[in-house]
Amino acid sequence: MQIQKSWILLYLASLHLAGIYLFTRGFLLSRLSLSAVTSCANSTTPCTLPPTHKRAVLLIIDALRFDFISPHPPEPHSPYHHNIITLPKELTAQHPRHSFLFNAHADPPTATLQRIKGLVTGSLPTFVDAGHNFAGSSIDEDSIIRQLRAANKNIAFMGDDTWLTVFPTSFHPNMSHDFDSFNVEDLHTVDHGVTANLFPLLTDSPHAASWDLLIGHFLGVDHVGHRIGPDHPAMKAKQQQMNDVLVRVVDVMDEDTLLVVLGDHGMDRKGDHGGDGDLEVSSALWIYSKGPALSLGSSFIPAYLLQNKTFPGESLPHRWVQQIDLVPSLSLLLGLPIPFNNLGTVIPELFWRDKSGTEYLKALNINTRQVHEYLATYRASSAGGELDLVWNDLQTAWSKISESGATTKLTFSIAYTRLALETCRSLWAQFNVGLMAFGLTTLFLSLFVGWSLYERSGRLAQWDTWVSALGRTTSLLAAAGAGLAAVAYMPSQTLPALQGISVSQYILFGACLGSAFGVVFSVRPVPRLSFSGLILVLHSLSFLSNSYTFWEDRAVPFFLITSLAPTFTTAFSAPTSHLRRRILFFSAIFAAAVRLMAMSSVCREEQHPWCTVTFFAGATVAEPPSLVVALALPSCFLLPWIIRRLLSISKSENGIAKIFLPYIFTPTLLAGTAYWLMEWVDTSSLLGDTVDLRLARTLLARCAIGGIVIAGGALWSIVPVCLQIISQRVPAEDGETEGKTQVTVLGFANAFGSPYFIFWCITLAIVWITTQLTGQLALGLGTVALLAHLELADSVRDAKAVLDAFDTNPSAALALLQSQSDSATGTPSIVSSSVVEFNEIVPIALLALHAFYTSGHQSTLPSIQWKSAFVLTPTLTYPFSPALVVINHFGPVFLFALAAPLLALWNVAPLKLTSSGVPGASSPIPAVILGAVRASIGIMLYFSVLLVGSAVSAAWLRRHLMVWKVFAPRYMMGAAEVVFVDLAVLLGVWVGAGRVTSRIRSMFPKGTQ
Amino acid sequence: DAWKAWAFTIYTTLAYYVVLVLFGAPIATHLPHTALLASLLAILTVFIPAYALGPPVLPLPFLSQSTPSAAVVLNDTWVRVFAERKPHSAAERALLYPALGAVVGAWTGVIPIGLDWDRPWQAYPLTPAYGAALGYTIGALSALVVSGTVFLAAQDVDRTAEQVAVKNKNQKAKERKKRGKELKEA
Repeated sequence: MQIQKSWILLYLASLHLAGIYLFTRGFLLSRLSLSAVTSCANSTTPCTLPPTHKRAVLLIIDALRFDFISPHPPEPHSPYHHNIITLPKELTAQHPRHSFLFNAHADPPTATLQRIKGLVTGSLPTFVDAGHNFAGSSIDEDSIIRQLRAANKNIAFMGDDTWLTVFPTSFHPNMSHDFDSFNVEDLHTVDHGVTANLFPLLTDSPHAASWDLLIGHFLGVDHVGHRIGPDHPAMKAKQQQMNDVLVRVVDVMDEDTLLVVLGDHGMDRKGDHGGDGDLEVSSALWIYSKGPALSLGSSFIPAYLLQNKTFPGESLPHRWVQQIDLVPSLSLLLGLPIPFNNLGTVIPELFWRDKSGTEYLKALNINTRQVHEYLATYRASSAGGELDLVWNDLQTAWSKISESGATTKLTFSIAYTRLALETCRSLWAQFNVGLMAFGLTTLFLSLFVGWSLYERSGRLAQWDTWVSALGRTTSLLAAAGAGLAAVAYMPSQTLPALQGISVSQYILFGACLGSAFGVVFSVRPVPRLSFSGLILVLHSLSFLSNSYTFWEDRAVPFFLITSLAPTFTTAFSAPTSHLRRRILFFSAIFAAAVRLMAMSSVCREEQHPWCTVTFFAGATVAEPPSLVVALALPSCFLLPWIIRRLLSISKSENGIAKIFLPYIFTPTLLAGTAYWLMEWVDTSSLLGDTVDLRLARTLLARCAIGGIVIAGGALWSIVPVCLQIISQRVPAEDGETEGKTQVTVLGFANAFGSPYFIFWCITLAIVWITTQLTGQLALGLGTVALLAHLELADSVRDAKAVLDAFDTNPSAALALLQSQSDSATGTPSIVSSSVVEFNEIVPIALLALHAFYTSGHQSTLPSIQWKSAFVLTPTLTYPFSPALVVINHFGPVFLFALAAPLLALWNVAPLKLTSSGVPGASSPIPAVILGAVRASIGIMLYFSVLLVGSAVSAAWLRRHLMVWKVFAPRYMMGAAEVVFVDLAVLLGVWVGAGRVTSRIRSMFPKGTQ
Repeated sequence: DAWKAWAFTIYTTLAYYVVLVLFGAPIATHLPHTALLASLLAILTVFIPAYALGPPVLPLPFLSQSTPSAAVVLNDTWVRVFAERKPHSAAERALLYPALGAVVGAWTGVIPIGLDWDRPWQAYPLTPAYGAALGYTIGALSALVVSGTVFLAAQDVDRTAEQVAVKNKNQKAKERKKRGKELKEA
């Protein structure tokens, strides 16, 4: 069989991609951003208030969680992050009419780019925007910045350069100082840069009088959180530094300046953010006016205007606002119009200047009118249909304001703006049900296509002709389906559910539908019950429950051990004691490795308190546990030794394995481990602050990656065999005239498997380098489990072959037994005619997920290990940094999917032997390639069933409270996993298996086709 | 005898302990819980078979040390009944089915632990223990049903066979008579 005949893998992968594309377009939300700008020029009503302050200083301390400045932080106090930034609460206690402290709700996604957008526009950036965080994007919506520029005011900026990607040209060129934001390892550069530029502008710089808004964005607190976690002396030092900065700012600023200090979002217990956990959305907001008092104090404000909320762990509730409420408040305090898209509501404390709150009522009037105009414009826009269901409620709420008298007007106005905010929040969780249905149908069909192809690939007979015929029919049917879909487009647009789908999406769907039916009908697979099928069904059904979705990291090892049960029971009935011992031994190894891997976990938020973080030394630090540090270096020697030991069973530790394992693989693992050890030394400042190993580890990592890719790749592609051929002359026996040359080929029995495994090891080493220490141990154990599984699958096949033979032909069975006992000494074993079974694929698929979870990942956004972006470079560099994060995150799944073809290659000799030990006439290569294709389809099938499970649950539970926290992230993970599994098997079959088989074919031309 | 059956049950408890930990039972905490669940499973699954069949011959102290040939027969029975799940008699079915039921029940009993209902009965190791007991009961009942069905079917087969045999006999007797007549006539 030709390798090119495996195009069906590509077809199946594109079916997956099409399904994922269609479903994702319908499921992940988007928001229409309106580019209108509020203008005072042609309005009859006042559009702003007289300013109370000439200018403002806006200091953003990234990830400043509310409890960091809370006057009553949670008990017990953390010595590292509570009561350290004390200035805000001191001033609030002393000057309750000048200083105001709030717990501000930051809308998820709690990533800096989204929060910056929210903070200047007053709007709600959507979930999909989270993906843009690496690339940034400028905004065309109205914002405070734009209003300031329109009023011809100058903006000074210093700090996080994300601001410049949002506002490339708005800041005054002489007063703009940006610093790299994604360099998480650097705790101080940005903060020092901000401080150095901030104070001159406040005091004696030539530009000191020329700015009207000064934005300073500190990143240190956020970086300490990401890098070391909030419970560390470094956090204390950082917060101390922030407090000092605040004290100095308050000291030097003049009375016309308003000071606003806030965190753009909070951080979770470990110091990460991105999701919608309580700790992540609770940010701090402090507003301080050194000059005029802003209000009479909160005791004069009616209590129903003031919302309170208790921060997790605190004993007292505190004043709680929306973070975007700052936008209209700040605009009016500076005498600017409120940005057009704002959905925030002015904060009462900042405007309540007489007993009846006249000023506040005025502010609220302007605010309400602006929100109303925004909603009306949105309603009139192309996306206005989204408001259909809620428009009446909004109109009722609006009319209540104008009808009401002065006393109730406040209540109704606030009710209206809040209703608008809530409406928009749920609105931008708007789904396109039609597209979702298209996507789900395509994904469902891809399951049947995968199943059909899997069934058909169990039979070698006439495979080639079948595939060629299939190619013709499916392309014909795809074209027909596409044509039909294009025709059906116009008539079907009358159905409301199908509106908003484009013609090209119709055509794509039609093509998928047509071709998929073609494949399914040409095979017509028959359902069969199987043990591993039960695991697969339970696993995909588990996504319908949020509990099982977030406990998936425990369910996977449970399933893995369960999948071992049939093998384990075969051990007792195996025909020889050799096989019995072998199966029991490797079962024990497999189970032990899986269980040891399961000891590593980064808990997701929902698992608290039934889960202890073992991936790191603790829940709030980002250092490896000391046991892992101790085991890190020994494991780099142990793993290659185990691989050698296992390869030596089939005498295939020869050939390139002899060079690759000790001279390329081991050093690469060592370098990868040393990198992370040095990173740990740097992070925890073990050697003091004077020693910086950054340059050393950059070089080390570059050498390691370069070495394994260039040396390993070149070596493997030139000689992809692990054979050693020994020729020796046998002295002439009696009656023979001349001596014979006896040729022994070592590693013959595993001629396909071992070189492919070397290929796999190259990938393993690359993933290893990007993985943190605990994850490296998990990967090592996973490799051991994989090898044990391969040996198990082989032994079980042997045992079954002998047992079957005993049933049919006892004498042949004895011959088989004979050859098997020889296989222990490395001579060729039988070529079992059995095909790869789903029972053998399931453990590899589960192992892939197990490796993903135990290498410190979860199906959540905050579990992405951003640290890995800086393995090769000290600063953010394209394309390497994002690529490294991807390798770190999806590497484990990719790696084990790449191992699936090994099931067909492992312990297969390049020549079929007849019972007398003479090479037979037929070659096993077609069967081997088809087996690799079958194993690949099997693992694709496993992951696509999981994808369908998670997609169905995300679609079905799309109004569930936890959809953005549990179901949507799991769907996105599932989709990405399918893509990476597809890539891995394509690489494995085309490059890995293709190269190995063609090389073996050229080495053993005799008997091959 | 009972002592050896107990000894084997204790060994099996240790084995179950390891298996439970491999399936994900906590390593450092809940030690008595896991141990008790392991002993429950061991008592449900192997105590009665070990008493009825005699414990399998293993190189462990306190187990029976019989002659090699007897040992092979005994171990083969254990393998056939429990590993290959091919009971040959009603007695063997009554040993295998409840044991299988207990193991499957304990496995299924793990599932409710993951739900976030926060009920006291959800705590480990309660649900696997309930599952094991329930599975044992279902297994015992199904052994009864299967053995009963097999017994009735066998009786039916026997009766049919008897009838066939009687018929054949009659026919043969007739033929013999016929042939005898023919011979006589000849």
